[in-house]
Amino acid sequence: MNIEDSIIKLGKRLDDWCEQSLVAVASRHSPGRTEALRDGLDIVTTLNLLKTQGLATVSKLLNHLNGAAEGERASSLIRAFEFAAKLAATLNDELLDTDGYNKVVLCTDEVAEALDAIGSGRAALAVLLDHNDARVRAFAGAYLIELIPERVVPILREIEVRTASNSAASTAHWTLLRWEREGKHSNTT
Amino acid sequence: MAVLVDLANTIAEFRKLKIAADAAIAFVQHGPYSLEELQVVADDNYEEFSSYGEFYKDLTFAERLEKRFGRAGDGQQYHHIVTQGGVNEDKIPPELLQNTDNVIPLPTLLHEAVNAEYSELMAGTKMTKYQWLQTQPYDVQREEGLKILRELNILK
Repeated sequence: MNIEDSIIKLGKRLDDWCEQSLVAVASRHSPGRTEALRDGLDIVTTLNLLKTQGLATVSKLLNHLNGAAEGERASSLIRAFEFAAKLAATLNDELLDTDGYNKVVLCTDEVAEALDAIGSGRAALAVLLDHNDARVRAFAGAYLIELIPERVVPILREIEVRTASNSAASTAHWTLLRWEREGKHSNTT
Repeated sequence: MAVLVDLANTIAEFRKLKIAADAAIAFVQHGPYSLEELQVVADDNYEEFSSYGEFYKDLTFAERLEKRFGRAGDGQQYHHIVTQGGVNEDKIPPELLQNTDNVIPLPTLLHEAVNAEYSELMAGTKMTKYQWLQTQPYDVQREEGLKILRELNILK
């Protein structure tokens, strides 16, 4: 099972735990309190483990082939970005884990900056604008909107309108809002 | 002795959690709400406060609000739709932030979910939504603040 699936499964477990065990945990005399506490602790431990594994994977891809040919290095960085975008969105959508989400977003910043230092720069992320996962397209759009707005804006608008309320729609909305409010659209439309 | 203190603190935390969970469950069962339903007074009773009021200058707004309208309730906190603190503290007149149109009571757990939403980094910016929104005019901040409440299914 990959990390994304594990987080989704953990999210389901957390929902069940909140529904069934929260009252037991909060009650002084509930016979199931110890077991509920143990389950809750296990969920937190598992989440921390999954986050550590996820961030380690991004870090490995980020540093993979450091010093190798630019093409190979760029491929590795694009894979890191794709993985991080999915991980961030899953942490947010399944567990409302803002802290974990923010840590992974900082990783996508690092990937974009690493790409800026080689070859065609972060423009290499444009390949992800055709990704079948809206969460990856939205994330790539956030990093490319100033570079290729004519391509990114329609993609983000479609995600914002057509995608159900989740982190892909949220990323699209806030990226478009920022771009419009900062007046950058006036140069391209 | 330290173990007993820890245990007492843990039990106290659990009791708070229970109160907060009960408040959130009761709130969600009857939601989503219109903004008017959540405000502490009806529109025609709008009130605003100066942070520098002579009588309450040593109290926070939340404390003054409690004096005027009572506590938000067990397991509840007051939420500012246009956020207070940060850049807004100097940029926006206190009367625009500290008024009955901008401040609503929310269950603590939902208030934490709202705060978490504001704490999210905006991809590609190194800024949180809270920080970026405060660079925007009041109207944009309010519109997005209401949108966040709608997305969390708190507001209709």
